[in-house]
Amino acid sequence: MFNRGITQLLTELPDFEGLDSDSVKRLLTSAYLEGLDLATLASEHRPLAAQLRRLVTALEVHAILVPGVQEPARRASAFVAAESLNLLSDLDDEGRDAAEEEVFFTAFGSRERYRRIEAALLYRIAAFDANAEIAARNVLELPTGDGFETEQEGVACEWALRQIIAFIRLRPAATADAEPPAVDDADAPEQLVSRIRTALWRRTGEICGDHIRWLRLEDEEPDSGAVEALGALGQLLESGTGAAYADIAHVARLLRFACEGTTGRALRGVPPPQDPSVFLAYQQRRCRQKPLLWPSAERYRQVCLPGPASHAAVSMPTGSGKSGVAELAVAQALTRGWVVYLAPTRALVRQVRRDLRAAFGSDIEVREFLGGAEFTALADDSLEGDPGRAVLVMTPEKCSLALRQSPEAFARLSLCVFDECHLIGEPGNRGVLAELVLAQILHLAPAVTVLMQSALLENPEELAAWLRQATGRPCEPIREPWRPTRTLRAVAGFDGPGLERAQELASRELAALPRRVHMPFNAPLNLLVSLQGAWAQDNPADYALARTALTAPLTVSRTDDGFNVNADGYVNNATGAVAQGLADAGHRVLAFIPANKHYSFSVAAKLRGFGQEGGPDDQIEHLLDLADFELGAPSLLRQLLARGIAVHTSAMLPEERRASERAYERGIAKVVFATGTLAQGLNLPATAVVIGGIRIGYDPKLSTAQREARQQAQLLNAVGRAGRPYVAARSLAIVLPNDAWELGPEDHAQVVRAKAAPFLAQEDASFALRSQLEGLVGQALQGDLTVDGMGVEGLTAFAFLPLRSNVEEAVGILGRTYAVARRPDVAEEQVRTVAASMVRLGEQVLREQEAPDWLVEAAYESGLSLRQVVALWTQVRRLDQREFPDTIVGWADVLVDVLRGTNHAIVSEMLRLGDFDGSLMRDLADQAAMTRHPAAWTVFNDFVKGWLEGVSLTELAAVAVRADAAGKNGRGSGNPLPKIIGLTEQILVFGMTRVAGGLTVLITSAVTRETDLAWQLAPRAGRALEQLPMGLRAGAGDDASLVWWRFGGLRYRRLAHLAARILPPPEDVLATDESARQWARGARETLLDPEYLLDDRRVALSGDERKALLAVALLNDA
Amino acid sequence: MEPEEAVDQALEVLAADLELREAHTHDSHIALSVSGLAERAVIDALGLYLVGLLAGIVRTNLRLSAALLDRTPEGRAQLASDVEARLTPPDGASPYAVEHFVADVRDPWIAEGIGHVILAVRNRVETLCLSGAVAAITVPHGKPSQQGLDLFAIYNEEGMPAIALGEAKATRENGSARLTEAISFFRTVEAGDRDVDIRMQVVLLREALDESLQRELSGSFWRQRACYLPMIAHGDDLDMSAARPALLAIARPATHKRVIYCRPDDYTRFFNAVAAAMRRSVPTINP
Repeated sequence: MFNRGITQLLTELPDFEGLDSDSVKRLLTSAYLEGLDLATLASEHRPLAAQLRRLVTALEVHAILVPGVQEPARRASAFVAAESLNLLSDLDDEGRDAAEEEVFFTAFGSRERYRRIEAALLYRIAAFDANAEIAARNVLELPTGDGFETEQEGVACEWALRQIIAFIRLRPAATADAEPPAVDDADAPEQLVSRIRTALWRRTGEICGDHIRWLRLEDEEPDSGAVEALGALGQLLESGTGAAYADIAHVARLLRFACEGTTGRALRGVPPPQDPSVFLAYQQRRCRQKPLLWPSAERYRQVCLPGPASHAAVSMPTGSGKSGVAELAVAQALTRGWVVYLAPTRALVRQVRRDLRAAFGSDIEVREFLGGAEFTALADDSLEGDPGRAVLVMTPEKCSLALRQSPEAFARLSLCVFDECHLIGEPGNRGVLAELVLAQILHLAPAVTVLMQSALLENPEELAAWLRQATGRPCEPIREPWRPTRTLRAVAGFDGPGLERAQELASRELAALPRRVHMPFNAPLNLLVSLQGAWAQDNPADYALARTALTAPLTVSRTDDGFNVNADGYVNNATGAVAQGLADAGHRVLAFIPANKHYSFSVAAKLRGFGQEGGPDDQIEHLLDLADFELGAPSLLRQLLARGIAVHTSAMLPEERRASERAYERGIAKVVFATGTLAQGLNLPATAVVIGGIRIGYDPKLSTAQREARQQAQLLNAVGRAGRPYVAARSLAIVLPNDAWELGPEDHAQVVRAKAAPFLAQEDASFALRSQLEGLVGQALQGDLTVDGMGVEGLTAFAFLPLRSNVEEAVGILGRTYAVARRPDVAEEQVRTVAASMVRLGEQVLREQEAPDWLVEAAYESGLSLRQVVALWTQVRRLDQREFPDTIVGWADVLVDVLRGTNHAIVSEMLRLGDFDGSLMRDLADQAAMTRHPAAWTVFNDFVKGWLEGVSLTELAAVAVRADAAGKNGRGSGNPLPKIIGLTEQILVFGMTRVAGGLTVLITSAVTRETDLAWQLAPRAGRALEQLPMGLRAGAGDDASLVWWRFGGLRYRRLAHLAARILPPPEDVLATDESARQWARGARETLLDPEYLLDDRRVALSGDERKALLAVALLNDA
Repeated sequence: MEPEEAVDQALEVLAADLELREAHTHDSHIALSVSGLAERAVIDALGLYLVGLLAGIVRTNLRLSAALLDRTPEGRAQLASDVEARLTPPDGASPYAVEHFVADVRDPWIAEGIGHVILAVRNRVETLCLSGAVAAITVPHGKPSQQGLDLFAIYNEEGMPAIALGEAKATRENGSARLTEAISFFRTVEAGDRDVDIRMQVVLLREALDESLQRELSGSFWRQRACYLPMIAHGDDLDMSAARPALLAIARPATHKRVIYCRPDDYTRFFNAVAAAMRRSVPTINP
């Protein structure tokens, strides 16, 4: 349950006999498991509770009463005390006499309230802010007794409690609580103590209020005075004759250390950079929302701020405040220029943009660049000039385009944040591209500071060495393993005797029904859990077997030999059953089925589900209406969400995924099924993760080692999704092995680990990041570089690097790569050799194909490799200018024709042809069949055309996947709908847009450079060609729908077409982007006016069309 | 004579004249009897000491009142009022409350006071009360509406701090039942139900400990160094030195469970005498 951050923290515990980090972890984990109401250890409760109590008192006393305790030891002691106290609440819930709980307690009205506040303040002292907030949640709703000596004492105590809770939540108390209650200073000697207590509560609350205001930067004082004031209160109270005030003295002492800790971690205390203007405005705003630095940001501040004065390579676990670190860096760097924030997926780009906008408000421009790496001549999402003080968030692919198109804009780049920077180590084209993007940034932006962040990174020191070498400036490697949540790692298996009993009963039942062959039954599951954290230890004492209330389904079948258990489809069924069981017990479950993205829907469909909680959510309905319209059939997700089940896979529309996220965030869905690949970036509030099998989707391009590394990364990432700060301090991750098995007390953890889940032995940060360019550099240095032998990684570099005869720029980039930094034997001279050999290779490619020199520039501009551009050019140059079309759809036809004539191997580099398997275009996946069966190209052409013309996805599936697909909304494996969603995303939106960019560059360049061809592009033809890449991305094959997509805010393919039908832009506004933009602004208001949409006389719409347009009009989900 | 000096002298008398004798050592506990209470000098010293305790509380209250309230009461009147509040029922009390005041409020409070005295004496001289010298004691606040621990002290056990918890009972005719109640209180302590109260009390006493004891506080709690002291003042004929199986259930060494009992020759007379001595002491403490 405890990661290396906690292990490190626990080394600071006081040196008491029998109190070591391992035994503390064992105890706390056992207590968590017992408190779950789901599992039972063999050991008794009482000793557990007694041991926890012993920990609480000894360590709380250590944290707040022993003189000379250093901060790390104080935090460690406070953490264990808080955790123990918190766990005791769950343990004590069982069998506690309700009447006893109602007994009045002088502080806060009840012991349970007091205990929760005590735990929350200890968490705060330990710097576990999110846990503090969770511990204090709902305290005010807990029952209390009524025994205050005077009414005013009760009122003051309750008021102080609200102030303390406000401090714990770091938000000011309600306005109604702004003024403290009055103290009636009556002359009644017998009530003196009560009057003093009233005044003490009042004073305590006032100090908390002052401190919150100070933390929130609502005053200019250098110090809130809270520590001093609470110390003074302690001086008054802490004596043997003050027994009547012992509770308040105790609270004051806890508060004193909590305030002291928060003073040191206050965002307002972060030193500003030289030009403080932007940072101060940020501080002013952000202190109101998140006034404290988490330990990760604290560490960054210590070593890199103000400035940032150095680069940083940060390894920190998921959910430990990465965005907080990045925010600090951004807020300081913005004073010196603009910031590029790289994130690996579009979903993350959106999330980062949302987070940054929340942090900076409207003071700073935060732009999201969502396109891919494809060339576009349109101004959308392009960098023009100096972005000023702005944060531009994008994927490395998009950044690669910006670097090619607007290198001059990077001169004033002050900071590059690279989130999830382990992307650099990913095999294939993405890792190399990411590395080269960063290298080029370092080359173009001499003053840039880099912040690289990842939860998986095992070797930040090596990245730091890279950045130091590439820039000659300092770089801090930061390993901050602190994490605010804990995850218990467990492996599930059937309980042997329980399975036997259940099987026997089912067999008996089956025997009584002679005509039946199969009888399903449920068998109980055991969990083998690690009492430490990762399953790295071999000591049997560090593991425990827990019997659970969870079950998984099996089938007993009648055979010639009698009755046998049939475990077909075990892992999927068990994943569903365990998810259901956990959610029934109150958990928020994230279930990963990593083997195949289509299983998620199938498993979800079989689940019993849950009763509907709360009313319908309009925003979810709007999202689903939009999905229905794009699909052309009702989304199956609607039925699942109605049963409290969500699904989140790449075979879904973005609107469906967002509907699932929203349903889960709001508790409408108790379970979400997802694939392992989506584990990254999925920021959902799970208290339990179920991993259904450890096989991940097969990728034939990966070596065994690469596949294992990817599997480990994906599965660890899935584990890391459990336990979101502010949702649950502790969570559970259960791994179901691929195959059914029994798990009993005799099973050794090492064997279970090896057999079922080897990845469990690893911590989060277990990925030693390596450059994927190392092979290429090695080959070039040895003179072995060939186009055929360089692999995907080499080809990507070949596409990315400016391989002009003047090698300076390529040398500048290559010399700043991680691959070069990791080779101490490679100096500038060798880098020149590498660049020169790549240039030579390019020249050779040109010579062999008798291609013109300008293709080098064209390749660089389009982001395709020189070889790909040369291959395209051999087809393009045969085009007849007279056939140049003047529509986007027309150019798409040309593009398909060009591809049809291009070498299969080259096409397969640009498009994932394997995806065509299982579709009516399957012949394209096979080189021989592709030429033998040209019909596949016709289907492909229709597929592209249908996409551009706005036909629904089910209709498109009938064109491209299966003739009978129209109207079919099935989402399981083999259904046409998920297939077509994948094809449109991978082939059209990702692949074809890049090829279209290449075509655009080639034709527009040839017009000026190939005078022999004497091509001329008519204005309309030229504009249509320019629009082709974006038209393919948008699924808009005509000017009008593309205008709606680009400028009318209708980033929904079919709706853009619908809008173009209802309100087509006049011909004259299509001439320029500016006129189109201005027209679209007004037209959007008209179109999305609900009154307009509901008026049949003004607009004729089908029911689905009206619903979809109204959904856009009413959707305000960020 | 200064009030502090008077209290000090009273404690000297009590240290000299009160005697704790080991009545029996069982597997479960040690039984200790208190003698010397009947002496006039002892009763006078007891009365004065108890008023001194209250004066300490009054001083603290006045200090707090001065710091926190607009109006600070006059000290003399406050002490007189506090003493009376423990010896006579308040005006307007119900007939039932009046009838039971002595048994339910006055005598138990005096019994707590005696317990305090026994702990305070252990600060000065070696007695069988605890295996080490008392370093700091809290003063029972005596407000029935407020929870807390009747008697709480930290003593020095072989150089390490340890806590002493006392539960005092006064009963004219039902010593056995009160002892059972006290034992069940310690069972709740042992189960951890009073942990919060213990943590609170330690906060109060920390300052009074020397630094070496302060440093060892957490270690002591880790080792669970504690001695339980049921203290019973009873009037009935009961063998308090007998074995108590209920005490065996509390998993601590017998040396750390010490039943302290006293049986005045005339129970009622003794408590009345102490009450009278308290009233007489008010002018000494409050000159």
